[in-house]
Amino acid sequence: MASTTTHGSHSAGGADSVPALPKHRRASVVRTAYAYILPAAIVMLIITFLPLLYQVWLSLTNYSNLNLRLPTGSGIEGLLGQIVASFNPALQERYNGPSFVGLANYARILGNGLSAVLSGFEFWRILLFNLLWTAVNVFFHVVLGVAIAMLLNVQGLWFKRFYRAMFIIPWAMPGLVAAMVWRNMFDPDSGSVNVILRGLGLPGNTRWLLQVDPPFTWLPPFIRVPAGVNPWFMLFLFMLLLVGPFLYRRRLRQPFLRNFIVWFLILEVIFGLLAYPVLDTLRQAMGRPSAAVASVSLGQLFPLSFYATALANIWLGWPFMMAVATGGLQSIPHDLYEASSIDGATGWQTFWAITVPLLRPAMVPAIMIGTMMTFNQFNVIYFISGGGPLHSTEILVTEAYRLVNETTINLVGLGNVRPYGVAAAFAYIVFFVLAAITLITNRVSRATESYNA
Amino acid sequence: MHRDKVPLARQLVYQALCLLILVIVIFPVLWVVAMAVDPRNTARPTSLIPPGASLQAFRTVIAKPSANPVSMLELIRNSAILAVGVSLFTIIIGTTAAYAFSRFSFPGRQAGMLAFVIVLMLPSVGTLTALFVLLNTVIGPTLRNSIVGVGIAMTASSLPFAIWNMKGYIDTIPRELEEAATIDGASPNQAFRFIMLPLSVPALAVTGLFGFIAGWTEFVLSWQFISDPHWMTLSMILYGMQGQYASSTPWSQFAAMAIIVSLPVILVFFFLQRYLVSGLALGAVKG
Repeated sequence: MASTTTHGSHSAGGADSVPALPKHRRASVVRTAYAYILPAAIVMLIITFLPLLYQVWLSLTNYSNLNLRLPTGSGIEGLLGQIVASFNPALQERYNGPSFVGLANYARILGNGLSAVLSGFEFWRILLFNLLWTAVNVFFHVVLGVAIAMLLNVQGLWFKRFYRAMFIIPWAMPGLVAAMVWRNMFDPDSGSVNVILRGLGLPGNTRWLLQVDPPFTWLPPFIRVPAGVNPWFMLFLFMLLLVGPFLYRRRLRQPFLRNFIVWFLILEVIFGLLAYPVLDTLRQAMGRPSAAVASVSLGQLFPLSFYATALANIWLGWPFMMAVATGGLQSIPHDLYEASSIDGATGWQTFWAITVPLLRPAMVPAIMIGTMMTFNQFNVIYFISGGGPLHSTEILVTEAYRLVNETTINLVGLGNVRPYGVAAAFAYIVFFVLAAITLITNRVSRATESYNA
Repeated sequence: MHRDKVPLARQLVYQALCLLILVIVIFPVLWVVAMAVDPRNTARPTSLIPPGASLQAFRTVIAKPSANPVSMLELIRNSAILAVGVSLFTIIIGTTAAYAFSRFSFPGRQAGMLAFVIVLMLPSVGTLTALFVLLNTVIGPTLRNSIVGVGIAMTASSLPFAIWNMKGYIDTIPRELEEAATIDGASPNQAFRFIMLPLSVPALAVTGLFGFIAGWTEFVLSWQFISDPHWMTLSMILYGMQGQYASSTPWSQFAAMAIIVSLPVILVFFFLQRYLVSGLALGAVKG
């Protein structure tokens, strides 16, 4: 009998070499594999990979809408001509190509150089806002999804199927429709949210999507730095340093809260009290004049539209978590619950000791997908708040869309143009942010995925 | 909680909770329905069944969906072609690729999987710039104004998730079944068609569902590619209906159109619902 090597069924990272079969069978296996992959590979090559490569070049130039016209040749020849021309200025007339600017676009975005020409563009603030918005949303998605899944999992509940079918609706509704309905609902005068509030006797003329001043500006942490330093970048650093060490903890025990508070206070002292004097002295030592205090607080990141869009997104997102949690719950054997009730465990103890560990393997991939989907949730932000009052609720993807389709920037030597080169650089920065987040969620999920049923 | 019956008091509490959640979940939907039947064309219906409720908005929208010379039937046809096409192609191309990644070892497997994971995290705006420029310079004449172009682009964007999901699911199907078939003389193609596919129906349903939804509700790419009115899709018209200011949008017609656009999606969701839970369950859950 020919040796059929079992290639290990759950191949997370499998062998990258061809298995030990006789030569003609080996070639046939490889050929079959390639044949199976070929259609997918071709489609993705044309639509995704080649444009990605092209975009690398785009991001290193000052491409704008002036370059869209191809004077010489059409199609591929004109395209390649532009690429060549960007390195060889002599050819630029001929191909109407852009100039090569190296990493200038990236530097401008990361160093906040664009905020002078593009209103509301503060890269680090947008990034921090995006992260916080995602974290808040995913938290509620999971909590609500799991809780309601458990509610619907109770044996003997009447109309269970009906509820399950109905609760799917937010997920099933097309995102565009849902977003526009919610925008209507947040209208200050007769949107249903305010109407209901008035009906309950509460003040009902909140301008959810339009109010510029955030309600809780006193929310710590506070950052005080000299005016030349980017305060939002410092706030980003603060949050990073605050959360970083705790992402790797496996268990949340009592000292956790105390450690967290102590760490928070230490960071606040550094960033809030010491940062300004220290940095100002440094600047003076380097010959620059003493600058005034620029301060930001975390509360400034949360205008009212944050809460409005978060509410809408939570409404949209929890059915997905509920569906996954239902699947997970149904795979937990009932004997465990029986045993725990015999041992006299309370509901809360049962939840933490049995339900959570056994639900984790199912929820972790869902949380990863959910995090990515929420992070890139274009529909909700764009159609409900439009980026918020004065661009305060922009997230990375809406900003990227804005750069391509909506804004013109006054570029040096070109006038007011659509900055496709800058947009391409921004797209790559977003890509790297997403890659970093994926890596981090991978690490965290591997650290928490410790239970094998 | 292994009991056969829940005591009545507790049952009523649970029912109250469920009803509360139901109201919160359904409320925006009811809002849209109220908007659609309200003859006053207002964005703010005051009650669920407004006085003088009529289906006039539906009739108007069906007769003349937009200012462009396109009929409702054409719109539905275009959207259906796009949705079903994307769904089918995603299933076919995605499943074969997922099968290869899951079952075969070949040079470039690791690199390929890495590439798919990378693309999985990329939002569509990641390539929007490049696609826009390429469209206007190179690809323009051929793929512009073609639903095929939009369909291919949509397939490309739903493939990564499809492959990832299908591969996770196929990984959980024991190899012994295919090995038994191979011993009996089946070729890999036959093993794929007769063993793998029937077993993967839940995951196929989920992939097809997502592909269908993506194709049906897509408007960003269609808006940029398609300018011939006869090839427009429902979502494009819906998106185009919102005027610049709240007062210029025909709200009743907008709501009617929104219902027409949402209905097939919700129906497909309901029918494939029982597959959703099992089709999304990745390796760790299946016992």
